[in-house]
Amino acid sequence: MTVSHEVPVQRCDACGLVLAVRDGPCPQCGSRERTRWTVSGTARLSAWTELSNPPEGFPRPHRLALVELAIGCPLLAVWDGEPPEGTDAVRVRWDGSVYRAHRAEPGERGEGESPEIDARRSPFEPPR
Amino acid sequence: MNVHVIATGQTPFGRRSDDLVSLAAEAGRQALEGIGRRPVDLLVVGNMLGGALDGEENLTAAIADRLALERAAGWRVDAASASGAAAFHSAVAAVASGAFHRALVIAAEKMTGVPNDRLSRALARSLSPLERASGATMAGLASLVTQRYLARYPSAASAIDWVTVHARRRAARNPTAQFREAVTVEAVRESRWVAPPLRLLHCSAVSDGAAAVVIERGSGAATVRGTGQALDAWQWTDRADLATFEATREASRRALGMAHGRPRDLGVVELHDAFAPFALIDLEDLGLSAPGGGSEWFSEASLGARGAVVLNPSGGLLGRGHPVGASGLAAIGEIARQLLGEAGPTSVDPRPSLGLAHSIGGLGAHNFVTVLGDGGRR
Repeated sequence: MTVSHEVPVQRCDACGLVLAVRDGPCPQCGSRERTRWTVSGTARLSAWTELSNPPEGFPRPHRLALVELAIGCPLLAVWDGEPPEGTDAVRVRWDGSVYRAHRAEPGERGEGESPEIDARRSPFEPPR
Repeated sequence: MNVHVIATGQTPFGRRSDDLVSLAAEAGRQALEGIGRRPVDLLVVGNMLGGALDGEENLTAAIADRLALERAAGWRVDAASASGAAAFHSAVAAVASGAFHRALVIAAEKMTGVPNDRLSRALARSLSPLERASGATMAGLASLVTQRYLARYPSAASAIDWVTVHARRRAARNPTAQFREAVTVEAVRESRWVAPPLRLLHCSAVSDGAAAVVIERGSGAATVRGTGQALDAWQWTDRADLATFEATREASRRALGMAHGRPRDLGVVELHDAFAPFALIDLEDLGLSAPGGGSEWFSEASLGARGAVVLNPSGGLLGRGHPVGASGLAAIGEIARQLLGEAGPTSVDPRPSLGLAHSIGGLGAHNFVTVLGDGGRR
């Protein structure tokens, strides 16, 4: 499996909403026109947890993370490695089926581009 | 809406040896006995996991067969953990349309006796494909929602522990509840981790059980005053706000709008506390609290009742148990019994005249609000 630090996301051409890759229309405006981007995996850790009872077929421990890409896009990711206590800077990659996140090592940098994207509403703050 | 609840039934919730159809029939039989076995011309069934866990399909025909309802029409409704509420809403619409006169609504779930990892996978089928592929569970995503909520309102952390204390105190009076023993806040805080910051006693339990109601055209003390439902983005991270459930807000606006009611008019509310922090979020989403104010309901001093509103007299999902597909209808049944004066040991005093039942489907992707009240009031 090819693993890259470049992260695929998509932007709605109509309203500019940037999201994890998904099928179907934009959940904000309903448009089906979208552009796929590959962006830097540089991200901030927003929350993480460890499941005491992961679904059948997943290893223990199984950790999940909510991360926010530098371009402002929230992603659910599988957390790799030791628990991220005290971590803020993380790296995200795409393994072909899910996003995976780990602690950013010093000097580790992204390979993707961060396109200029219009400011979108942040799901991390209360709606105005 | 010219439809009202005239009878209810509910099995005890918890670990039961009965199969899914037997549980459904037990609740249905109680409700039918409540109307003296008068005929019903519609049977609507709510269930989430029958096919995934028991291989139980064509559930409506199986239950009709057990209750000798072959002459009725019927169908099964699915909205994940809000299936019971969805079944009720579809039956109300069908009776209000004039197509049917009297309907029996049954919602049932059989969850125990299944290995935990298999059950987690079955429950996770209501999540989006990417969430499922990531190994997400309901508890895992609820943990992340909770952390986003606490990042916004850090002082709410303690209140979350008190939600469970309140739920168990209420459930102790409910003879059909799964958990009839009170717990201390210390016990909540010392229970094992499930998905930090969620501990075992912050999470509703795996449970078996069924609920039923009979509705018919007309009005009475438990008239359907408003029904509202709303969908949100299936994938949690696609939503506009990760610390709240917009689908509850919209469903509540629709139901209370139809009822010409305001949150402060409510005397009793059953809300969907599958995870303790959801109680705080629900209160805010339903308009019973200002944003960030949900925690004010849950402290040692003010436990679950503010003003005239009583919360979750049945014990809610945390106390009553959470047989997922049944919970939404169990909440509606509890509100109906309160309004009809048939709630027995869980009765709210004074008897309320307007109540609300809330149900969350999946991780807030499809939520339902039902307002019942005295048909003679405006």
